Amino acid sequence: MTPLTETGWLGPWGALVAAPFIGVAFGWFLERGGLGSAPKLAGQFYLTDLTVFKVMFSALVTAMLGAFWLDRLGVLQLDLVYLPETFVLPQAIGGIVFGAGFLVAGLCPGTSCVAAAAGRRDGLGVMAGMLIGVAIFNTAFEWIAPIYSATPLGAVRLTDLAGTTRGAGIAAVTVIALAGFAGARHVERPVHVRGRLHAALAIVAALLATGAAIAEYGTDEVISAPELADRIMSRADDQRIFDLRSPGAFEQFHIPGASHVTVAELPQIPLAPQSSVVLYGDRRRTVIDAVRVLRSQGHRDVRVLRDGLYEWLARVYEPRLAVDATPAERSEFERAASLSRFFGGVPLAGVPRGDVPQGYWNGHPRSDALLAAAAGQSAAAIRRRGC
Amino acid sequence: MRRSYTDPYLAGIGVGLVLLTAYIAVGQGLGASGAFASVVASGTAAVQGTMHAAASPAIAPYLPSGIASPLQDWLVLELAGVMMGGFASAWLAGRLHRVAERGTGVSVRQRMYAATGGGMLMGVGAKLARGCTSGQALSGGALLSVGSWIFIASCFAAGYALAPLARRLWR
Repeated sequence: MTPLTETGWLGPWGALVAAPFIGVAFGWFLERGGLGSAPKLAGQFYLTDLTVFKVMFSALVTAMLGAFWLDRLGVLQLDLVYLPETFVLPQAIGGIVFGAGFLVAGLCPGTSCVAAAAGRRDGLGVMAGMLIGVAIFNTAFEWIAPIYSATPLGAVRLTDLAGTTRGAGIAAVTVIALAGFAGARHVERPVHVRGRLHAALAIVAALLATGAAIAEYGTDEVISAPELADRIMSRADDQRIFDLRSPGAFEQFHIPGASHVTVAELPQIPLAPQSSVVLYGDRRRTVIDAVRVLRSQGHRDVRVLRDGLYEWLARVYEPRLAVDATPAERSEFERAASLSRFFGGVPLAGVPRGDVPQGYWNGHPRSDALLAAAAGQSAAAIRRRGC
Repeated sequence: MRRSYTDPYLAGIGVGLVLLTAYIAVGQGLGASGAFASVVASGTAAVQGTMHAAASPAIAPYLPSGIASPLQDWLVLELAGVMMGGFASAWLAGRLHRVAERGTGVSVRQRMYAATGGGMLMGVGAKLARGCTSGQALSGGALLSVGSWIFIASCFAAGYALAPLARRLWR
């Protein structure tokens, strides 16, 4: 099971040893593709040479499809891979400033290192400029800070916002990239050197992408933790909650009323077709498989607990209120505290701001360190996000 | 002898497999601008003293005592590897040349100013966006991160919008 650093196979030192090897391969392929030469990169902006687009998007699609399928096959736990946090405004402005610099420099930070290593003095110039630019940013940080931390959305994927499955999102990105590759042949001078190879690669990508969309089809219904809490409190009939984690984790802590089940056991469980089912687990693949099993048996109302036990702990079982809470946070906490007491949890008021769990429900980036702390203190050792 | 470049799609698949290896091995993507930030933070600490440098919220995360430290060390070593890999590939392909590559009507001095100025803009932009074409666009984009795709869109939109103004640089 991977990532190796998350599952304990590779310690911090091991990761540092791996770094230069990964870097060598990265630099090698960038140079092989011609991305160590500024005029070639700049050609992207004049549509005379689309190498940047081709290399970048074939790399993106390869990694995206590879990561999805390795996750499906149980090799890689994709939810443990670091997902950059979204800050809409600074990333839009930063992108504009960066794009202007990219155009003028003809190289981006990574490719400037490749160019410099290949003897290009302009590459060294870009590297020097990068250092100066970062130093300017640091010096002016006091003034930049309000923009820098504006409009946070947390660690969020396009598919979370769109409300679709990740498989469907991956398929959409692949289709757009392949359409772009096809279009690129008409924009550049048409040189069909490796037409057959390219067609074969495109077919493989299209098949993997279609497979991804099909593998997750119909598994996009989610429920938030407070919604689930309300449902449990209203003692709705025909409601079932299934915990798909290990029996040990279930013994340690589970949502009241949940029963432990494995995907293999699901078909044997007597369940009325009209019952509402909520599923949660700590492996996305398992949860998706469970939804599909229930759907294939004709159950319509099957939902996945959004963010699994993480959101449950943070918003229902153990809500926290910062010392310097805003009135909005205070009223949200009052509501959460009554839920918490109902479920035998421990609402904590007056904790330091840094100890308040964050997620997209309060518009702040999720901190995995806080999650680990929360899980350690209250319930089971629940890693990062559940499903 | 100078060899021609590898097919861009094959090179791209190579980069994609390297990125996938990074996800698998260390649970994070590739990066470049973070390494520059780390170097600047260490430099600032050396000049101003660690205590003074650590007082800045822009610098503290990149210092050895900072929270982002292991990640940043990782990026510095990775980027050193990028330079070695780039050197090896250029050498074996006969593409090692001590030149400043530029458009035809541009002097070396002008090219160096443009390169440094462009680098400065990218330094500011990458810090603001929390990553560059490697760490944000590629590594985050492949994970469908919303911010990564905002960055991709605004970066290329700005590049194309301003391209007519910079035409003289690349003719």
